[in-house]
Amino acid sequence: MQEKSDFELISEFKNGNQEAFNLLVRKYQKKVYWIARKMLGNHDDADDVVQDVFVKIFKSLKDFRNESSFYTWVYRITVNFSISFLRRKKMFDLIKFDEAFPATLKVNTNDNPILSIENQEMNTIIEQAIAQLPNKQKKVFILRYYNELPYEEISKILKTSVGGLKANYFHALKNIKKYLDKEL
Amino acid sequence: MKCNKKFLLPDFIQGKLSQIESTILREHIDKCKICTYEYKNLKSILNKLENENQKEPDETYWINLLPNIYQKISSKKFNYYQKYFPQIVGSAVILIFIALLIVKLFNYNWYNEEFPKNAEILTLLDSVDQDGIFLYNENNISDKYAYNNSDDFVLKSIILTSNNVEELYKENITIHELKDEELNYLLSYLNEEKKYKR
Repeated sequence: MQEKSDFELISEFKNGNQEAFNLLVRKYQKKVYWIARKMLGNHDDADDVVQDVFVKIFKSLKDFRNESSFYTWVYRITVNFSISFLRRKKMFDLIKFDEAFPATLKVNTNDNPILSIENQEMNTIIEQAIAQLPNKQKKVFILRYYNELPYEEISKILKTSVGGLKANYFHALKNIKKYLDKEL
Repeated sequence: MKCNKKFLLPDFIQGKLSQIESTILREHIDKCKICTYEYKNLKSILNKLENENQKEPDETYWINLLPNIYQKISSKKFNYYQKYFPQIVGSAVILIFIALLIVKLFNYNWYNEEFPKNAEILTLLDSVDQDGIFLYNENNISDKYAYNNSDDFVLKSIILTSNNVEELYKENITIHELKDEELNYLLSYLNEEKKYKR
């Protein structure tokens, strides 16, 4: 059976078919998860944001007009929620003086039990390198590198020119390299 | 020296350019020192990133995700609001208090500096009679009643009858609406009243 398009699923949801929402979640859950995970640097925070993103979609989908594509909308919500989450977290980390490092830089040792220690360390340093990027570079890097979105799509999501995105992506890579050179 | 073609290098290394674009850029890199340098840099970092290997959450996570989302929808509350509610309320109260303090101080200074005559009138009004005074005018049956209303002054029209004072609040005028000569009149009137009070 042919898979239903986003447009069809949204129409069905608007007509009261909740199963259509379930299908949209199943379709986008991994993409949303990995954007959040890369932006936040750990599973627990990513899980929080993923749930919030889909709650937001559930509540707003009735008002969604097909002016932009559904996944552009979903990515935009995910990126914005992740950035808001980071800001809140940083704010509360400042309030909670007992935490020496932002939670985004914490290492979740349960994440990769199979990987070697070296690999885990490397992953952690890469996550830290991404976490320290300026927000704009971080968003562009994650959408381009991990989600492999075309610049034209990222441009719609982040409302930035394609030229600006290319420059941001380039500088993000250079900043990651600078961080890795320092840490490794 | 600057070369904007360097921004195409990541896509070139990751094979995301068309064949024609790649050929042109390849030729350019051979000639351009900046791009040669950046190419080596980016190539090494992209190689390192390629080796990054993160484990996906296990299948249970994906199975439970949808029920968790519905649970959150039905609770209509986000965890972080619940989690950080005391801090949010505490911070909000402190911010509101500071804002009110600043506004109060700012208004006070601003008011006294900008309208010294008004400030003097309000002080006099309070010292003469905190409930307000009648501004009696012998030549006119219509008269005014002035009182201090939380840092501002209100003038009300009243009509005097033979024995009683019947207040007909036809108009309310604040001190800012008075003309300069009216302010002067009020000031002298209140100074006289003050002398009388003594």
